[in-house]
Amino acid sequence: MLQKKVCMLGSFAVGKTSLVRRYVESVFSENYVTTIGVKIDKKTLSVNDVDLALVLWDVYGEDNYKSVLPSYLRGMAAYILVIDPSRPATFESAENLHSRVLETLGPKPFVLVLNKSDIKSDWEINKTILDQLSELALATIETSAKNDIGVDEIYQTIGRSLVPTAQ
Amino acid sequence: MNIIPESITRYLKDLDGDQCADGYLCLNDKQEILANCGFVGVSNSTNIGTGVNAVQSIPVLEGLLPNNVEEPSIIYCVHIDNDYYFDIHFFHDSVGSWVLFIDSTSSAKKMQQEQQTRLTEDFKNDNRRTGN
Repeated sequence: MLQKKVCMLGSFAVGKTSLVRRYVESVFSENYVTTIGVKIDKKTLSVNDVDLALVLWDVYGEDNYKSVLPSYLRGMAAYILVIDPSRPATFESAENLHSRVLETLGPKPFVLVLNKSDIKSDWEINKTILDQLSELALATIETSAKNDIGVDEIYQTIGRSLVPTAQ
Repeated sequence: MNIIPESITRYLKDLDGDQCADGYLCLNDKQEILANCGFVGVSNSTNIGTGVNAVQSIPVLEGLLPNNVEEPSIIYCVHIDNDYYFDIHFFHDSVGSWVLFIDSTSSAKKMQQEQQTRLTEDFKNDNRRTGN
Protein backbone atom coordinates (compact mmCIF):
# COMPACT_ATOMS: atom_id res chain seq x y z
CA MET A 1 0.00 0.00 0.00
CA LEU A 2 1.17 3.52 -0.77
CA GLN A 3 2.02 5.29 2.50
CA LYS A 4 2.96 8.94 2.99
CA LYS A 5 3.83 11.20 5.93
CA VAL A 6 1.73 14.35 6.22
CA CYS A 7 2.28 16.99 8.92
CA MET A 8 -0.31 19.25 10.54
CA LEU A 9 1.29 22.64 11.12
CA GLY A 10 0.00 25.86 12.65
CA SER A 11 0.07 27.97 15.76
CA PHE A 12 -1.25 26.66 19.07
CA ALA A 13 -5.00 26.16 19.50
CA VAL A 14 -5.88 26.62 15.81
CA GLY A 15 -7.51 23.20 15.73
CA LYS A 16 -4.87 20.87 14.31
CA THR A 17 -5.62 18.09 16.78
CA SER A 18 -9.38 18.61 16.42
CA LEU A 19 -9.12 18.27 12.65
CA VAL A 20 -7.16 15.03 12.96
CA ARG A 21 -9.52 13.60 15.59
CA ARG A 22 -12.54 14.53 13.49
CA TYR A 23 -11.02 12.84 10.45
CA VAL A 24 -9.57 9.74 12.11
CA GLU A 25 -12.02 9.12 14.98
CA SER A 26 -15.07 11.19 13.93
CA VAL A 27 -15.10 12.94 17.30
CA PHE A 28 -14.82 16.52 18.53
CA SER A 29 -14.23 17.99 21.99
CA GLU A 30 -14.58 21.58 23.11
CA ASN A 31 -11.80 21.09 25.68
CA TYR A 32 -8.44 22.48 24.66
CA VAL A 33 -5.65 20.01 25.42
CA THR A 34 -2.28 21.20 24.20
CA THR A 35 -0.18 18.81 22.13
CA ILE A 36 3.34 18.03 23.29
CA GLY A 37 5.87 16.95 20.69
CA VAL A 38 3.93 15.11 18.03
CA LYS A 39 0.92 12.78 18.01
CA ILE A 40 0.87 10.25 15.21
CA ASP A 41 -2.22 8.73 13.65
CA LYS A 42 -2.82 6.75 10.50
CA LYS A 43 -5.80 6.76 8.17
CA THR A 44 -6.30 5.02 4.89
CA LEU A 45 -8.27 6.59 2.08
CA SER A 46 -8.99 5.79 -1.52
CA VAL A 47 -7.72 8.24 -4.13
CA ASN A 48 -8.24 7.53 -7.84
CA ASP A 49 -8.87 3.87 -6.92
CA VAL A 50 -5.55 3.72 -5.10
CA ASP A 51 -5.39 2.92 -1.39
CA LEU A 52 -3.29 5.57 0.30
CA ALA A 53 -2.26 5.42 3.96
CA LEU A 54 -1.71 8.85 5.46
CA VAL A 55 0.60 8.85 8.47
CA LEU A 56 -0.54 12.07 10.13
CA TRP A 57 1.95 13.95 12.31
CA ASP A 58 0.00 16.33 14.51
CA VAL A 59 2.85 18.64 15.52
CA TYR A 60 2.80 20.88 18.63
CA GLY A 61 1.96 24.50 17.91
CA GLU A 62 3.99 26.15 20.64
CA ASP A 63 6.78 28.50 19.59
CA ASN A 64 9.22 27.59 22.37
CA TYR A 65 10.24 24.44 20.52
CA LYS A 66 11.39 26.15 17.33
CA SER A 67 14.70 24.33 17.31
CA VAL A 68 13.01 20.94 17.43
CA LEU A 69 10.56 21.45 14.55
CA PRO A 70 12.92 20.46 11.66
CA SER A 71 13.26 16.94 13.03
CA TYR A 72 9.48 16.54 12.96
CA LEU A 73 9.37 17.65 9.33
CA ARG A 74 11.88 15.05 8.16
CA GLY A 75 10.53 12.83 5.39
CA MET A 76 7.28 14.78 5.08
CA ALA A 77 5.53 14.35 1.73
CA ALA A 78 3.00 17.15 2.21
CA TYR A 79 1.50 19.31 4.94
CA ILE A 80 -1.64 20.97 6.14
CA LEU A 81 -1.18 24.55 7.30
CA VAL A 82 -3.91 25.58 9.72
CA ILE A 83 -5.00 29.10 10.63
CA ASP A 84 -7.63 30.21 13.14
CA PRO A 85 -8.87 33.45 11.55
CA SER A 86 -10.55 34.48 14.81
CA ARG A 87 -6.97 34.98 16.11
CA PRO A 88 -5.14 37.23 13.63
CA ALA A 89 -1.68 36.31 14.99
CA THR A 90 -2.10 32.82 13.58
CA PHE A 91 -1.76 34.20 10.03
CA GLU A 92 1.77 35.34 10.75
CA SER A 93 2.56 32.05 12.48
CA ALA A 94 1.41 30.20 9.36
CA GLU A 95 3.58 32.40 7.17
CA ASN A 96 6.60 31.71 9.41
CA LEU A 97 5.93 27.98 9.42
CA HIS A 98 5.65 27.93 5.63
CA SER A 99 9.04 29.68 5.46
CA ARG A 100 10.51 27.16 7.91
CA VAL A 101 9.33 24.28 5.71
CA LEU A 102 10.87 25.92 2.65
CA GLU A 103 14.18 26.37 4.48
CA THR A 104 14.20 22.82 5.80
CA LEU A 105 12.80 20.73 2.96
CA GLY A 106 12.23 23.00 -0.02
CA PRO A 107 8.79 23.37 -1.64
CA LYS A 108 6.25 20.75 -0.56
CA PRO A 109 2.56 20.51 -1.49
CA PHE A 110 0.25 21.93 1.17
CA VAL A 111 -3.36 22.72 1.83
CA LEU A 112 -4.17 25.99 3.58
CA VAL A 113 -6.97 25.57 6.13
CA LEU A 114 -9.03 28.34 7.67
CA ASN A 115 -10.53 26.51 10.62
CA LYS A 116 -13.37 27.40 13.00
CA SER A 117 -15.82 28.48 10.29
CA ASP A 118 -18.50 27.92 12.92
CA ILE A 119 -17.43 31.28 14.41
CA LYS A 120 -16.89 33.03 11.09
CA SER A 121 -18.44 36.23 12.41
CA ASP A 122 -15.34 36.54 14.63
CA TRP A 123 -12.84 36.19 11.80
CA GLU A 124 -10.33 38.94 11.02
CA ILE A 125 -8.64 38.10 7.74
CA ASN A 126 -5.08 39.16 7.02
CA LYS A 127 -5.61 39.47 3.28
CA THR A 128 -1.94 39.97 2.43
CA ILE A 129 -0.80 36.77 4.06
CA LEU A 130 -3.90 34.88 2.97
CA ASP A 131 -3.39 35.83 -0.66
CA GLN A 132 0.32 35.00 -0.55
CA LEU A 133 -0.20 31.57 0.96
CA SER A 134 -3.29 30.75 -1.13
CA GLU A 135 -1.34 31.34 -4.29
CA LEU A 136 1.18 28.70 -3.24
CA ALA A 137 -1.25 26.17 -1.76
CA LEU A 138 -2.99 23.28 -3.51
CA ALA A 139 -6.23 24.69 -2.15
CA THR A 140 -7.56 26.97 0.57
CA ILE A 141 -10.35 25.33 2.50
CA GLU A 142 -12.64 26.75 5.17
CA THR A 143 -13.35 24.13 7.77
CA SER A 144 -15.06 23.48 11.04
CA ALA A 145 -13.77 20.51 13.00
CA LYS A 146 -16.65 21.18 15.41
CA ASN A 147 -19.38 20.85 12.78
CA ASP A 148 -17.44 18.49 10.48
CA ILE A 149 -17.32 20.87 7.56
CA GLY A 150 -14.59 20.64 4.93
CA VAL A 151 -12.52 18.13 6.90
CA ASP A 152 -12.63 15.26 4.43
CA GLU A 153 -11.89 17.69 1.64
CA ILE A 154 -8.53 18.58 3.24
CA TYR A 155 -7.28 15.04 3.20
CA GLN A 156 -8.75 14.16 -0.17
CA THR A 157 -6.98 17.20 -1.66
CA ILE A 158 -3.69 16.23 -0.05
CA GLY A 159 -4.23 12.63 -1.13
CA ARG A 160 -4.72 13.59 -4.78
CA SER A 161 -1.37 15.40 -4.75
CA LEU A 162 0.38 12.31 -3.40
CA VAL A 163 -1.06 9.60 -5.64
CA PRO A 164 0.54 9.37 -9.07
CA THR A 165 -2.00 9.89 -11.80
CA ALA A 166 -2.47 7.13 -14.37
CA GLN A 167 -0.60 7.75 -17.61
CA MET B 1 14.60 -6.22 27.47
CA ASN B 2 16.81 -9.03 28.78
CA ILE B 3 19.84 -8.94 26.47
CA ILE B 4 20.92 -5.52 25.23
CA PRO B 5 23.08 -5.51 22.08
CA GLU B 6 26.49 -3.98 22.54
CA SER B 7 25.74 -1.35 19.86
CA ILE B 8 22.92 -0.02 22.02
CA THR B 9 24.92 -0.16 25.24
CA ARG B 10 27.69 1.82 23.58
CA TYR B 11 25.28 4.40 22.16
CA LEU B 12 23.45 4.90 25.45
CA LYS B 13 26.71 5.30 27.30
CA ASP B 14 27.57 8.24 25.01
CA LEU B 15 24.27 9.95 25.73
CA ASP B 16 23.99 12.44 28.59
CA GLY B 17 22.04 11.09 31.52
CA ASP B 18 21.08 7.60 32.55
CA GLN B 19 18.79 6.23 29.87
CA CYS B 20 17.72 2.79 28.80
CA ALA B 21 15.96 1.69 25.64
CA ASP B 22 12.46 0.27 25.92
CA GLY B 23 12.48 -1.15 22.43
CA TYR B 24 14.77 -1.33 19.44
CA LEU B 25 15.05 -2.29 15.81
CA CYS B 26 18.16 -3.17 13.85
CA LEU B 27 17.76 -2.72 10.09
CA ASN B 28 19.69 -3.61 6.96
CA ASP B 29 20.28 -1.37 3.93
CA LYS B 30 16.81 -2.19 2.60
CA GLN B 31 15.13 -1.09 5.86
CA GLU B 32 14.30 -4.71 6.66
CA ILE B 33 14.29 -5.77 10.29
CA LEU B 34 17.32 -7.83 11.31
CA ALA B 35 16.56 -7.83 15.03
CA ASN B 36 13.99 -6.27 17.32
CA CYS B 37 12.97 -6.40 20.93
CA GLY B 38 11.06 -4.62 23.67
CA PHE B 39 7.79 -2.81 24.24
CA VAL B 40 6.84 0.37 22.45
CA GLY B 41 3.80 1.64 24.33
CA VAL B 42 1.40 -1.24 24.45
CA SER B 43 2.90 -2.90 21.39
CA ASN B 44 5.40 -5.71 21.80
CA SER B 45 7.87 -4.94 19.04
CA THR B 46 9.20 -8.49 19.26
CA ASN B 47 5.94 -9.61 17.67
CA ILE B 48 6.75 -7.77 14.46
CA GLY B 49 9.15 -10.42 13.19
CA THR B 50 12.40 -10.19 11.28
CA GLY B 51 12.86 -9.85 7.53
CA VAL B 52 9.88 -7.53 7.14
CA ASN B 53 10.03 -3.92 6.03
CA ALA B 54 10.30 -1.67 9.08
CA VAL B 55 8.26 1.21 7.67
CA GLN B 56 5.32 -0.93 6.61
CA SER B 57 5.32 -2.61 10.03
CA ILE B 58 5.77 0.59 12.07
CA PRO B 59 4.11 3.52 10.23
CA VAL B 60 5.65 6.12 12.55
CA LEU B 61 8.94 5.43 10.72
CA GLU B 62 7.50 6.57 7.37
CA GLY B 63 9.84 9.15 5.86
CA LEU B 64 12.44 8.73 8.62
CA LEU B 65 14.50 5.98 7.05
CA PRO B 66 17.17 5.39 5.91
CA ASN B 67 19.18 6.71 8.86
CA ASN B 68 21.80 9.34 8.31
CA VAL B 69 24.98 7.26 8.36
CA GLU B 70 27.11 10.20 9.46
CA GLU B 71 25.43 11.22 12.69
CA PRO B 72 22.68 10.10 15.03
CA SER B 73 19.39 11.94 15.19
CA ILE B 74 16.57 12.08 17.71
CA ILE B 75 12.88 12.79 17.44
CA TYR B 76 11.52 13.84 20.81
CA CYS B 77 8.16 13.27 22.47
CA VAL B 78 6.47 11.06 19.91
CA HIS B 79 3.03 10.20 21.20
CA ILE B 80 2.40 6.78 19.75
CA ASP B 81 -0.61 5.57 21.65
CA ASN B 82 -2.88 7.08 24.26
CA ASP B 83 -0.61 6.67 27.26
CA TYR B 84 2.98 6.67 26.06
CA TYR B 85 5.53 9.10 24.69
CA PHE B 86 8.86 8.02 23.23
CA ASP B 87 12.04 9.68 22.09
CA ILE B 88 13.08 7.86 18.92
CA HIS B 89 16.84 7.66 18.39
CA PHE B 90 18.43 6.79 15.04
CA PHE B 91 22.05 5.81 14.68
CA HIS B 92 24.24 3.70 12.44
CA ASP B 93 27.20 1.44 13.07
CA SER B 94 28.99 -1.51 11.46
CA VAL B 95 26.20 -3.88 12.52
CA GLY B 96 23.38 -1.95 10.90
CA SER B 97 20.94 0.92 11.27
CA TRP B 98 19.42 1.20 14.71
CA VAL B 99 16.15 2.65 15.89
CA LEU B 100 15.75 2.99 19.67
CA PHE B 101 12.55 3.80 21.49
CA ILE B 102 13.23 5.46 24.85
CA ASP B 103 10.25 6.15 27.08
CA SER B 104 9.80 9.86 27.77
CA THR B 105 6.26 9.69 29.12
CA SER B 106 7.03 11.13 32.53
CA SER B 107 8.84 14.24 31.27
CA ALA B 108 6.35 14.71 28.43
CA LYS B 109 3.37 14.70 30.78
CA LYS B 110 5.08 17.21 33.06
CA MET B 111 5.79 19.47 30.04
CA GLN B 112 2.19 19.04 28.94
CA GLN B 113 0.84 20.31 32.25
CA GLU B 114 3.14 23.34 32.24
CA GLN B 115 2.40 24.12 28.61
CA GLN B 116 -1.33 23.65 29.12
CA THR B 117 -1.41 26.30 31.85
CA ARG B 118 0.67 28.74 29.82
CA LEU B 119 -1.12 28.32 26.50
CA THR B 120 -4.61 28.36 28.00
CA GLU B 121 -3.75 31.78 29.42
CA ASP B 122 -2.26 32.92 26.06
CA PHE B 123 -5.40 31.71 24.30
CA LYS B 124 -7.64 33.72 26.65
CA ASN B 125 -5.45 36.80 26.11
CA ASP B 126 -5.67 36.36 22.34
CA ASN B 127 -9.46 36.25 22.57
CA ARG B 128 -9.54 39.27 24.87
CA ARG B 129 -7.47 41.25 22.36
CA THR B 130 -9.83 40.42 19.50
CA GLY B 131 -12.94 40.73 21.66
CA ASN B 132 -13.97 37.14 20.92
